[in-house]
Amino acid sequence: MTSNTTILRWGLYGILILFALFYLLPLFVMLTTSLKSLEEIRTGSLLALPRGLTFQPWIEAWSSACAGTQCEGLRPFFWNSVLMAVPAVMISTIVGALNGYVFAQWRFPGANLFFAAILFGCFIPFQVVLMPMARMLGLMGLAGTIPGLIFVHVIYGIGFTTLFFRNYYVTIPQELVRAAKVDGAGFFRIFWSIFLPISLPIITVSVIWQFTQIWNDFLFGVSFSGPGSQPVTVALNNIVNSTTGVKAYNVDMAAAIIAALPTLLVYVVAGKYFIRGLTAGSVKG
Amino acid sequence: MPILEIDHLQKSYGETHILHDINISIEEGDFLVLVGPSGCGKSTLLNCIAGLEPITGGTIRIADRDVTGVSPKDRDIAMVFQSYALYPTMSVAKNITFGMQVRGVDKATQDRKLKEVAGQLQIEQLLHRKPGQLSGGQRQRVAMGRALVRDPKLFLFDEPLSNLDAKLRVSMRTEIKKLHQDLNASIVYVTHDQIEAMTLATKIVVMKAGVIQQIGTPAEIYNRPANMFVADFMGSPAMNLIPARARPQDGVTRIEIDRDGAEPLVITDPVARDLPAEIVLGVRPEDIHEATGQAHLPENAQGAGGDVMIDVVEPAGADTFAVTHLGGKPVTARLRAESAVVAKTRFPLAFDLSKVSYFSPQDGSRLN
Amino acid sequence: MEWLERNVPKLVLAPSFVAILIFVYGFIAWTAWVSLTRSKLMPRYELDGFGQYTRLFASPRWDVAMNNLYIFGALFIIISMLIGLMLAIFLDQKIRAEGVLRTIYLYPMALSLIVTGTAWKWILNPGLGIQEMVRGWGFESFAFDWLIRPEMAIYTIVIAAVWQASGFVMALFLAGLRSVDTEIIRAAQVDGIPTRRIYSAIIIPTMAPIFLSAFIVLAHLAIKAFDLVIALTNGGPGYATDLPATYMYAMAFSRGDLGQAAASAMIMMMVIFAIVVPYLYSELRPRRDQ
Repeated sequence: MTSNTTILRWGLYGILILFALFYLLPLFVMLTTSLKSLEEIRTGSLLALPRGLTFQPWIEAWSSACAGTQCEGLRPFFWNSVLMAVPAVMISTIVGALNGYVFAQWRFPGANLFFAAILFGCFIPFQVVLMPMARMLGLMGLAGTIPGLIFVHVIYGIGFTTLFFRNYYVTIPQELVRAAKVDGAGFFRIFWSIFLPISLPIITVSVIWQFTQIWNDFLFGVSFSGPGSQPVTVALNNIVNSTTGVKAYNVDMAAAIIAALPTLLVYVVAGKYFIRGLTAGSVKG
Repeated sequence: MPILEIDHLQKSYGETHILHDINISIEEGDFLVLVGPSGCGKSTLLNCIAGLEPITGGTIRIADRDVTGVSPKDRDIAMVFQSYALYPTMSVAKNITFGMQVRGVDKATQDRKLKEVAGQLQIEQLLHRKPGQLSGGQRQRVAMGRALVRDPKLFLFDEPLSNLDAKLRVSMRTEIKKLHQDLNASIVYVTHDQIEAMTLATKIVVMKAGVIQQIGTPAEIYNRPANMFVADFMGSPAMNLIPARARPQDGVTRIEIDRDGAEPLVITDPVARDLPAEIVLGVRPEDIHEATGQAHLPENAQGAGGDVMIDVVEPAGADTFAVTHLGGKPVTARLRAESAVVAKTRFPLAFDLSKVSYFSPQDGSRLN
Repeated sequence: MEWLERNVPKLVLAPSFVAILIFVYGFIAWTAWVSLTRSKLMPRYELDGFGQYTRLFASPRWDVAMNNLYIFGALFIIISMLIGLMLAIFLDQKIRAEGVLRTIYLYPMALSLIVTGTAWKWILNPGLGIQEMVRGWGFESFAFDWLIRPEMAIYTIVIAAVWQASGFVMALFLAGLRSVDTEIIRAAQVDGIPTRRIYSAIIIPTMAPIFLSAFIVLAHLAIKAFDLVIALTNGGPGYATDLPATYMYAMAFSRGDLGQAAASAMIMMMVIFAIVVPYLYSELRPRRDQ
């Protein structure tokens, strides 16, 4: 009986570890490949550790790899992504916080219907808004610019941020707002003095969710950016599919890791909030 | 001058009427309790008084000023909530002074009033804590402090004791009563607990389904309930409501009550009353007495009773409750603790007819 | 002033309201309209019936895209759910280092699908990837060249997508397992019911809503799948791995056929709504009653 359970237990750990290896494999391959020379890649095995460490691919990926005709590496595009993600995350979180506060605590007739309309907005395939948005950005003079991308990400991000904050604030008893009203505080004063100080967890969730979404976005990036405003995901795809010269797998892998680094870092540092965002964003919408 | 006057107040959500034609008036220093089962509209009425809910019709005046459309902050009221509604990130001191701060009261006054109220409620040692670090009773005090510090024309309490355990509830009840006496404050207080209503109020409003059933002093409500709902709701154990027949006869009234396995019980009310043939007799458990030789009967209970079958005997320390059934309904009598009553035997009981109520079985209204 | 005070909440929502109205519903209406016209390179606004849809359904390329969606969607959803459920149940057995394992299983969800596609493209390329590695171990005839075989390439997308999303399904299920009332489980244990039966008869049935939401999320991901295909196969070889999303993109931005793009986008939306609307409806219903 006991030996039986012991074997079962070992099997259990065996399977779990096997899957861990499956999930780690691509990361491991990316990392080792990015540290090998092209020569070693051609002659060695996929899973072999690099014999002679070289950081040349990383330097190339960062500053000189060719994306299409532009040979400046990922660096300019990485900064494009930063310039796009930071304001878009901030604006959509602030708007979502205020919206969620209204939906949870200041309901009015018709608010539920509007909330449902926002929820549906979270689910639409973006293909359905791609063409009119391209024309609209053109009309607004934002086509191919970073502000244009910020605008798009804010518009289609507020659905989720509103949902996060609404579901968080709805757990706070309505009596709190009533007490504050009797105390003489108004809409913004109540938000600022009472709701904002308790919102740190949900702000974190919202910021992480939005940052991951926006940083990893490809569809909007490839549809609405110009040569000078491409985000890092688009540039990575261009580098990998660049046909000029010898195929530099090691540079591709280094570039992929560089593009993945910010969100990976966020995940490692604040995984708990990342998961909360995922489950909140999925289970409830 | 009335401190609060509610005149023909109506409240409805679309077609659903929440409150019907509410008229209430209280004087300065009154302690008004709104009582009724859950869903009767008492909390909605309180929120209407506070201005937290808009009303559909009628007017509300506080201290002779029409506040019907006025926002809560300008009504000169303070409110204590069921969940206490303490601001979770603020210290106790900040919770209490927040209202003054919002209104731009100067710091010195804030400090003075905070000190005053903290002393009154004995929460000086808690001022730097956060609400999360307080016990239920302490939170309750802080919530009261937040209201007291405002020194308003009218205090509103929304079931403030319902989240406390039984023992704490009783002691806080006493404390609220004492506070009311010391400050001579005007209070509107909502509860579903009829004991709280009886002990605290100078005036009680009993509500059901958005309609006022009766307004009166605790004694009036208890002794002369306006209808069977009030009779049943106020008092514990509840008033016995016994189907019976009335027959006027030679300047007295004969009341006949069916009883199992014996002739109907006939008792004689010495007053000639104009009653319909079918009535409901309302009698409180303490107005049913033991009619054995050694018991002292009130004058009006002499001979007004007979032997009944006792179903259950429940000793409760100070009293003993004996349950029988008359007119097809269980009837409870509150007897002395040392009573010799035994279950499953016949036992003589007598009714104190000066304290009974007669109701109409059709609409439940009071007949005497 | 009074008016302003009373209407602040509505004013705060107003910009979002206008934005959602124009940029979601207005744009959907625009796309729907264009899908009913003869628009080519430029949008034209004279209605022309359902011609674009007839053309779409007659197009062999769209046929491939929809077929791929069924294959990819079904396999992706089923495999991710199975792996996710299995890992969740295994992790629920008081495993040491559960936190570490969970972190490893879930990290792919933090990556861009472009990164995932790039990595798997490298691993699966027949020249230097797994095929070559296994051959290097002495199995000279080993073949794993799905990436370049038109009839197999769609399965490489399944592999990469499962790798990315199954950890997330695990997290959903694990949260579900943990939320089952422990008293029920204790009662079953006291009754002497074996662990396997406790899972199959008690715990998993109570998790029905989680299965549903996992299904919704995965179906949603599958229908929107775009980045991964672009990075891994770019729709190829030929258009063997086209999905509706890539078809729509190609029509809109490289083939200059706005009418076809609009019609395919509308079909995508209808497929998603057919799945999501009943779900959202049931999700919102009880909350409104509160």
